[in-house]
Amino acid sequence: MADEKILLVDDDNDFTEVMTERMESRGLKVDTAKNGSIAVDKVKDKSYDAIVLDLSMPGIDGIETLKMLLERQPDLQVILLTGHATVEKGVEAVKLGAMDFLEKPANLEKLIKKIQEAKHKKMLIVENKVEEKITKIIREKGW
Amino acid sequence: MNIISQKENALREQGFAFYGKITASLSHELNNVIAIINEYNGLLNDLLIGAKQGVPIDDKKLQKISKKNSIQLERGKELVDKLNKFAHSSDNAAAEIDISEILQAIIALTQRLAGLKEINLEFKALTEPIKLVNNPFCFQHAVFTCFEMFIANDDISRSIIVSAEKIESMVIIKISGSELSDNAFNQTKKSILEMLLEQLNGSYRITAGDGGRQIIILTIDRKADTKHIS
Repeated sequence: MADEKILLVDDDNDFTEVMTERMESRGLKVDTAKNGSIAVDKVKDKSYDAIVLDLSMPGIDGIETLKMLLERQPDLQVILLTGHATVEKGVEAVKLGAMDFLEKPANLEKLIKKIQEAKHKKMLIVENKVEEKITKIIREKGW
Repeated sequence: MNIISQKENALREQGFAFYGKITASLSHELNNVIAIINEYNGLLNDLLIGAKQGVPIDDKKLQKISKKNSIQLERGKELVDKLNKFAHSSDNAAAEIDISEILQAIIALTQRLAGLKEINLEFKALTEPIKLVNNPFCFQHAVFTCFEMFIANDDISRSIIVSAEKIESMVIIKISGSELSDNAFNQTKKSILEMLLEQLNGSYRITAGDGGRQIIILTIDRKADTKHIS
């Protein structure tokens, strides 16, 4: 059973409601945010394996939200959901540091696979950081 | 190329851009509707898979899914109707325009684009019906150009208010928002607006409103002949 923790950012309540239900039934822990500011606030206090972010939102759009999220937590794994009209923006987002993007309506199993990849990628980053720290301490102590 | 055909070309080019912006926005919204229906359909499938494995199906849940899908279908139908009506607005270069109806239509078509900037478009109900014969597509384009100026301006008042009145043979459309910047974008839009109003046999001016707001006033003669865009 999956136990990935994700933050789903989308301004459409109906969409987040049904996505949450479907993902939770598959064992994922889902938190939601209806705009970019709320998402940025949430990542301050909580740790997520992946952020699933809609590109087109009122106020701070997906691209700006992505920049703000990665500024605060560069290791965050962000998967973008885009409408068909914004595929170019999806590519732009990947260049800015998003892990990947999927077109709406997305296949849920495909999205969950991406989330699992995101968790794995994040774990590797954390492990590498720990390893680097240990190596640094060993060097400093001359062990 | 003479000046008239240069203007006609510029208008046609801007008309296509306007058409593109509206249809892109509506199709994006329609895609969101499809995405939600897709998820509810997936949820139904999840329930069926569960039922095959012995999990009883909750009637209330089924009712909820059916209701939610009906809401989305209704939303989708409204979007398609709007899109269809908008597409047909370019059928005739001259047609009877119901001012209240057409202003509400263009507001509805622009609401999402304004909403992305957290700006609300408000319509003040008319005190009497106003009708005129003119180019519906050009008319909507002119009003949309005014909206674009306020939206791009990052309207700090967070509202764009639209009203209309009839004074003798003139139709006056007032669109107000926060003070417009004197930037290149607005300069371009002003020249487009000028061309559109010329096409509609009207004129525009920008004046100061209450609380630091600015008002774009479109004046169109109801009795004038419409210039046709070929």
